[in-house]
Order: sequence, then C-alpha cells, then structure tokens
Amino acid sequence: MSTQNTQHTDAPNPSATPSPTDTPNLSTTSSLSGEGFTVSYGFIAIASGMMLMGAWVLVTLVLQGIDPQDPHKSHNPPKAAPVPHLAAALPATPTLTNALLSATPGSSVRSLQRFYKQRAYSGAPPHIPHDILEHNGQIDACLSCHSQGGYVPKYNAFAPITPHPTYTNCVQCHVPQRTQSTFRPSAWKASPRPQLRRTALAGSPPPIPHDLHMRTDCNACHAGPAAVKEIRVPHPERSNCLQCHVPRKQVPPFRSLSPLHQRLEKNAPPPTPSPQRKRP
Amino acid sequence: MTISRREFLKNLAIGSALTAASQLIPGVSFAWEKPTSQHGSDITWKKAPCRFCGTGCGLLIGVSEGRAVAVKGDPQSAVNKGLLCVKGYHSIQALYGEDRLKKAMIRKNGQMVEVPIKEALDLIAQKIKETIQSHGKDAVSMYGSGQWTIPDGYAASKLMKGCIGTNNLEANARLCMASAVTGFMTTFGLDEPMGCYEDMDHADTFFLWGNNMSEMHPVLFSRILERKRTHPRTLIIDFATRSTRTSVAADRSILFRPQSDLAVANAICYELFRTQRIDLSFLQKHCSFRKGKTQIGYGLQDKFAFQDTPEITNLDEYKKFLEDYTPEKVEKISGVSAEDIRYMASLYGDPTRNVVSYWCMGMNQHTRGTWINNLVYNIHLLVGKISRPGNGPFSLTGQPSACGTVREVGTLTHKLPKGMVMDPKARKFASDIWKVPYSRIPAKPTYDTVEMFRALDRGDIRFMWIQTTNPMVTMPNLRRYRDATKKQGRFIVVSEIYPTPTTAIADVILPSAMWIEREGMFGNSERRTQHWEKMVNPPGDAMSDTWQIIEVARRLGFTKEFPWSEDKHIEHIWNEYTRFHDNPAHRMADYETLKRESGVIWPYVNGRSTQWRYNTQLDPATKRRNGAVDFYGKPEGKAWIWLRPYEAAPEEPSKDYPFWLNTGRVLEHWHTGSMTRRIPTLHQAVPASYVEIHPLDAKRLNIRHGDKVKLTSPRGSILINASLNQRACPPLGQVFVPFFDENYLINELTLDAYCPISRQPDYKKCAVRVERA
Amino acid sequence: MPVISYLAYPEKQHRATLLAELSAHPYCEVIPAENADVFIVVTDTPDRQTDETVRTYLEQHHGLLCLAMIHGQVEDPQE
Repeated sequence: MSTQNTQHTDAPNPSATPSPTDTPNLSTTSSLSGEGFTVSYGFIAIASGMMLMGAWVLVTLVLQGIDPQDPHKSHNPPKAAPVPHLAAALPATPTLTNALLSATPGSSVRSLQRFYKQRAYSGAPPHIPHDILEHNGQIDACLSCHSQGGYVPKYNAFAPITPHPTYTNCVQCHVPQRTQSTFRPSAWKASPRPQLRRTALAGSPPPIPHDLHMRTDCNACHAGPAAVKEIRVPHPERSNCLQCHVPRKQVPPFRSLSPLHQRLEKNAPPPTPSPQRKRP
Repeated sequence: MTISRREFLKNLAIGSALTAASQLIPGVSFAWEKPTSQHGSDITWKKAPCRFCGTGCGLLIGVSEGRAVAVKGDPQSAVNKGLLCVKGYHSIQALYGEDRLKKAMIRKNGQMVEVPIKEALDLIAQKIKETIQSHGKDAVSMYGSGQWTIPDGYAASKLMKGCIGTNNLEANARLCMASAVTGFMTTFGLDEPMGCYEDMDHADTFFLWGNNMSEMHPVLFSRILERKRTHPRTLIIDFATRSTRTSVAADRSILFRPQSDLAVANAICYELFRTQRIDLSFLQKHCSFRKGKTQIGYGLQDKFAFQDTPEITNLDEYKKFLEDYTPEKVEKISGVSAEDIRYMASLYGDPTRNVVSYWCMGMNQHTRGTWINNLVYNIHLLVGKISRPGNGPFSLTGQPSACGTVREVGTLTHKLPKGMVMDPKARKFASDIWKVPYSRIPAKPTYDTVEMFRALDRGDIRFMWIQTTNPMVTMPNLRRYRDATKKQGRFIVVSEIYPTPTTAIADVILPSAMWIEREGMFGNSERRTQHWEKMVNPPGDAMSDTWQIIEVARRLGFTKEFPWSEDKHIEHIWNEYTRFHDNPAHRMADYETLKRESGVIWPYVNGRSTQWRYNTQLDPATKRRNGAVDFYGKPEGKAWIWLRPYEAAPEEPSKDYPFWLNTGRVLEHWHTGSMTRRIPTLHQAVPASYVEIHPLDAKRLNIRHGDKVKLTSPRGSILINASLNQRACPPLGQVFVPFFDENYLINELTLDAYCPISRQPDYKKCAVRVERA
Repeated sequence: MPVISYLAYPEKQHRATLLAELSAHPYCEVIPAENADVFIVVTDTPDRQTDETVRTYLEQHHGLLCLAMIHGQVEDPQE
C-alpha cells in the first residue's frame, strides 16, 4: 500500500506519452498512490465485507443443510407439554378421567419414530394426535390447517400437509385417540417398517419404499417445515420426483378386465427382441 | 437372519430383472424362491372384500410370514377404487386379540371346560339327534348371519332344510334387511336393487332417507362427495330424524318426526301429481296399482300372524288416496315444512336431474318397513327415474353378505336357494340338486327370528346353533330372550371368535376361523359377489363355520349330501349352489372368474355384469322390449304401486316416557363391537357408549356433558354417560344410543315390535324417560 | 466382483439346451420363467476380465436370441 498519500491526484503529463519500448515499472507503487489509494481502501473494505458476508451466508446455509431446524429455534421455545387449558375445554368422551393425548403435539420437529407411532402399520391412516371439535358445522374443516400447512402456535408445531386433499370425508379414515387403554389386550404385531436408503448403487436415488396410492404429492411429507426430519429431501426444488425415484415394490400391472383382452393376452406370441447388440 | 453383501447385490440384480420382465411381459412368473429378506418385510398382497359393512370395499391384504400385517384399498375394485374407511384399514387387527377363542368348550357342571373339537362336534350331533327324538324336528333350530360367507349359508340351508327337514333356519339379516326384501318382492317381484354404485357417477341429486351415510357407508359417501366436487350442480339432501355428520356435509338437512317418513313420501307423490311432473306414459306402460290391509298390528304377541291381501286398484283411486297427504296436512304429522316437502318433490320431478335415493336401517328397522320401502319406490316409479344410469332407488345393505348369503342362498324360514318353501316346484328343484327326497323339505315356514326366540322361550324350540352373530346383545327386548336361553332343557351351541355375551350363555362353544383364515365369498349391496382365498391359518383348533356344519352333518349320517374334500369344498359348494341360479335373471359367475376378478355383479351373462336390471337396453334378461323397462319379476312386467297409509308407531312418547329412543352405530364400531373393540385404534377413538341428548333438553334436566344419566323404558333401565354436542345431535325430545358396547345393553330397553309383513323389528322407536342419575 | 443380471431370450428350439448349459456354467445362475420364453441370468464373477469372458460366452451362445443387460454392480466401493 502506498505511503505517499499526500500527493494529490493529477492527470498524467499529456506530453509524456509512454513509448512502446517503455516497460512500466511495476516495482514502484506510484500508480497506485493518490487517486488510487482511497478507492483501493474502499475496494478492500468492500471486498472483505463481501467476503465476510459470503462466508456467513455459506456457513448458515451449510448449517441449515446439515441440521434442518425450526427457524424459530433461535427464540428457544418452551419445552413441549400438554397445554393445560386444552385439557379442560376438550369435550372428552364421558368415561375418560385423566389426560388424553398420547403423541402430544408440541415438539417442533416431526420425527420418523413419532410418525410411525401414529400408524398401526406402515401405510395405515394416522390417528389424529390432537382433539377435534366434533360438531363444528363443516365436514372438511381439517383442511383449514392441513391443506396448506403453517405454524400452529397452540401446538408449537407446523401442521402437516395432506397428500390427498381431494378426499374430504377426513374423519372416515382418521380418528382421534380418546384413551390409551385397550378393551382387551391385543397380540397384534406390526411388520417391520420400510427401510430407508436402499439405494442400488452408492449415490443412486433411493427407491420409494411405500405405495403411491394417495401419496403422489411428495412435497407434502418430504419437504417444508412440517416434513419428517429423517426423510426431508435435500433437493426440494426438483419437482419431477418420479423421474429418479421409483417404487421399490411393484404392484401387479394393470389388467384389462374385458374377456377379449384376456384372450389376447393368453395367445400373445413372445415379444420380438431387438437385434443383438455387439459390445463396443 | 443376515445375508452377505454379495447375496444382497445378487437379490437386487434379480429383483430388477424381475421388474423389467414383468413390464415387458405382463403376467410373467418365475420359478424362484425369494430368500426371506433380513428385514422380514416381504409382503404378498391378496384381494379380499372387507369384513365389515354392506359397501363391500375391495381390500388388498398384506401377508408376511403367515400373518396379516398391512391393508391397502384395492385400486382395481370398482366399488371403492383404492379408498377404505378406518375400520377397513385396521380390519386385520381383529384377528389378533389375545382372548381369541382357540379351543372348543363344553359346559360341565356350570363351568366351561376346554375339550378337543371332535368331542364338541360329537356332542352337538348327539344333542340334535336327542332333540329330534324327544321333541321332533321343529325343536331344532339354527340362527346364522349376514356375515356368514356364501358357503356357510349354503351348507346350513342344505343341512336344515334338505337333511334334517326343518324350516327353523333364520339369520340376523332378518333384523337388518327383511323390510328391504319384502319391499322389493311386493313392488317388483324380485329381490335386490336394480341399480349399482356406478349410479353415483351419473347422478346429480342424492336423497338420503334416514341413514347416516357418512358414518355407515363412508366410502360410498366419499364417492358422492367426489361427484359433488367435480359437478357443482350436485345436491345432497339428508332426510333424517337427527342431525349427524351426514347432515353437516349435505346441502340440505331436513328433520322429520320418527315414523312420519310414511306421510312425507306420500306427500311428495301428491306434489308430483299437483305440479304435473308425473311420467304418465311410463306409469301406464310399466306400473299397476295395489292396496293392502291397514291397521295391521305390530307383532307384539307371540305367534303373531298376518297375511296381506293385495287388491287391484287404479290411478284415480291412488290420486284420491293421496289427497290425505297434502304437504300442509303432512306438515302437522311430520314437523317437515310444506315448503321443504315441495322442495323435495321439485327435485324428484325435475326432468333435468338424475336422482338416486339411498336408505338403510332408518327405513328397514321400522314397524311399517315394507310400506316405507314401497312408498319410496312409488316416487321413483311416478317420475320414471329407475333402472337407468344415475337414476333409481337403492336399498343399501348393512352387512357384508346379507345379500350374498341370507337373501341369495335363502337362509330364512320361508326360503330356498331358489324360490320359497311353499312352492312345490321350488322344493322339487332343491331336492333334485341336493339329491334328497322331495318329501323331506318342509312346505311350511315356521318362525322368523323374533318368533324363533319366542319359541325358544316357550320351549317349542329346544336346540339352537348360533353362528357369527351376537343375539345376546342385539335382540330387542333383550331380557326376555336372554332369560329364555338360560331355561332348563335349552341347548345352545355358539360358533364364535371371541368371548361375547352370547358365548356366556352357551352350552357348547366352537372356535371359528375368521374371514381370511378360510376361503370364502361375500355378496354386497350392488349384487357384486367377491371371492377371497385363505391367507393365514386360524389359531388353535378354530375351524370355518362351513366345515363345522359339514362335520356335524356327517355325524348325523349325511355323508352323501356333504361329500366334499377339505381342500376343494368351497369350489364344489359354489358349483353346486350356482346351479340354483342358472337362469337369465340370476346367473352367477363361475369359480375361476370369481377368483380372478375383484368382484362381478349378477346376473353375470356372457362374461358381463348386469349393472342395471330391468333396463331393456342393458339387461339381457328382459323380454318385453317395447319400453324403457321390463319388470320381469311381476307377471305382466309391471311394477306395483302400493297405496300405503301413515300409521303411528306402537309406542310413542308419553307422560311417563317423554322421549323417543333411537339406536344405531358409529363409524368406528361394527355392530356389537366384538371385533372392532379389540382393534386398538378403533377402541381408542370411541372407547365407550353414551347417550346423545339435545343441549336444551339436557339443560332442562340439569345434565351436563359426561354426567351419568338414567334411561328407563317400560322394559328396563340403564345408567349411561351423556354426550352433548359431539358428532351428532338428536332433536328435542329424542335421545340416541349406539349399541356397540356390551357394557351398555341398550336393547334391554328397546321394543320387539316388528313390521307384520317383513317381521323385522324397529330399533329406532320406543319411549324412554331421561333423568340425571 | 461384478454382479450383473440379464434377461435372456432363447431361440425357441434351443430353449432347453440354453437352460441346461447356462445352469451348468460356474458363474451363472438361471431363473426360467414359468409361462414365457425368457430367463433371468445372474452372473457373479471375481473380476472384470472374467466378467467379460462370461458375457462374450453368453452373447455368442447359439441358443440365444437376445440378451438384455438389466442391472449391475461392477465396482465394490471398498476396493
């Protein structure tokens, strides 16, 4: 950096046209002094500022990528607990005496363990982990929270989005839990949950371990703040999911029921294979 | 069990090749034993109809290592197209309650003792023989179920009517569908609906007559909602005695006073005439008029007898008859405003609207059940909205196979698989197929269900074999019939899967195989027969109801009549049974077709289901093709329009008993809860029964939500918790109690009055007193 | 350690021969279809060269009509 900062800026001597044979004397910093200096301080200040900002953005992004957290976490929300006033106001089934809810809504991140706890088996419709107003005058009131999602302060959680909003008789499949007890003990054994990340090759897109019926809106469970954290997708901006991810178990291919088609299928000759390709 | 990485990669490679091959060559199969994956989660999916309601959804049951572990809706089923309800999704858990009956039991010195099942079967056969010897054939009886599979019912019918030679065979469908049957028979001459579920995809106006479809046939209701979503012109009219989830979803909820549906139906017909919306040419071509007896009683006395006498009448008399049912007059009886009656009539009469009416227990469990079924048919006949896509009256069935088993096989006192016992031709036909002497099949019906239990009480019946139903919770006026079973000299055999109040009074308990633990078929509301294969083994000594009957029949000496081998008996039974229906109006599909398809509708003709019966374009069984329909169940191809009046219920609210008592179900629980209460998700959603009271009534009686309430009827009383402002709300002066909870036996309060024509009891109307306990 | 699967379509008249010979091959496992003329062939070889040799053998077999490679893992990530 030049120390000659007292020299004022002056246009170079018009008569002193540099000859082509002149090699600029790079060892001196005279060309940087004066006019150049404030600007260069500025540049450096700006540059380092930008570098610092960039570094900060990078770090934040990296951190988010590694550990997707509720953006409100920085406010240190209170530990999840059943909201007391709810328990009193709930129109509980008359025989109930104590607290009702099992999977208490309130922790801010949905975990896979809690996800499965709400389901009798993988693929079953989850039970409703919060109480509902039964007689509320609207059959699809659930969609007011579950069609778009959003933060629900009452439960300190994000409402999960339904992957099948066109089915509007919600309580036909999803029911609340008004007690933890059973009528008689059950010997029910659920089968093991689908394993995650059964990729064919290292780095392959993992196959879909669940059925696609009523679950074609991948973003509803795999992206967004209400997503289950273990299956949150690192690339939600890519929206043609089925281009890379395929179901692992195939259901039998669709069969036409008409007898004509069945007869055709039965008598079909084996497919004509494409010509044998020589290895390059 | 672990596998090496190498093995894993190989299996992966093979799996990909299998997938590729199945895409290239549909239906290809490879001879390869898949090694059990280390996660044990290799699930095979097999089709079955649901175990529960009369919708008959197609399920795919996931089986892994000998257990049912998951359920999917079958996307290839035309009934539900992949959607189920909470009961269907959790149905398989009903197989695994810990107190599942695994061993036969016999009552010895007052205690139930486990015995080898052979010993129990021997005892049953011996008791039948003894009873016949000491009291005659008609002292032996069998009480089955609309949840019986078709082979169960067929074996029972052949044993009782063809072998033992008694018409003492009834089923619990008498308590749920009998009025629907007599409604069909008196109006059309043939049982079962003329339309199918596909009507929902073509209709734009849905009338629900006294049924809470959102909870009782939820998957069908979702189809209606989907129709509404895609066709905004669609209207849903909920016509009911109380406000339910269905009312909330409907476009209009119209409440009527119990029993006054008779008057309102007539008023709608009056309006149709007044506004000249009648299809006169349809009426003249395809309908004739009848009137029957009035003041026909309520079946409250033992051995109540009634025989209707149809009298021919005409259009003018019908119009005169309807003058008593102007909307203004009916408003006074029913509480339905004249404007609402005119509104309903305008929808039925609107030529641009395709109208379907659905009903179930509100119209069937009714002391004038046959009449109200006739009257709703009248409405559709007057406007010609019947037997064509998107139009028609549709009687929904409650149970999964009340149609398939009880009605089509004919497990009722007066029925044979084809025709009625009173008809010599029908008896001859049965004796030919069954290869039994003609004289053995008795010609006179004996008892319907209520009368059968009354006969047990009196001692005219001494032996009863109960299968797949829980009468000690469901019989109306329950105390009398429970006491009857405990009397001396009564021998009761109960085939069940779990301990229930009915097994509690049994002398012999047989453990039954449940649903997918044996091969079977069900027939649903829309005449669709569905087959399933055996998928898992029953526990312990449990045996299918069919095989129990066969074992006892052989011990009674009927080995010729029940010759089939255990592994093929269902197929053989199906082949023999379908011979009864081998005619154009009722032809059934063959065994291979049933196994392959997710269900087919009868008449099944030339590989095609007949979806709309009586339609001259779409039903190959029609003969008179000069009009839109041929009601070939009646002699001239004309349906009968019945002149049926309003008559009051036998027990109405009074000074001492000022409330109507209504009973029914909830979405989560099936019937008496013996299965669904053992499914944790369902029990935890609705753990106990309750009484619904209107909040203003409750306030007046100083009752709050959750308070203990005493309900008293002339027959008994019960203590039960109050439910205010929950999923349903009765009007003032009415209470509702669901009957799924054996801790609250509400049928101790109900009345065993019935429709004299169908003999079906009315569970929806009796009188009670409500007090804070 | 290549593990590769193929769909192999035999010439109609040589189906049995192809099946027998491939089944006898030390590095091949064959799963015939029950209701179509196609086999699944899985090769499991110790190294790339052997894999090449086996593939050439398959392709040039007189009873083979068509060979389609479906799935393979050639490199063991730990190698």
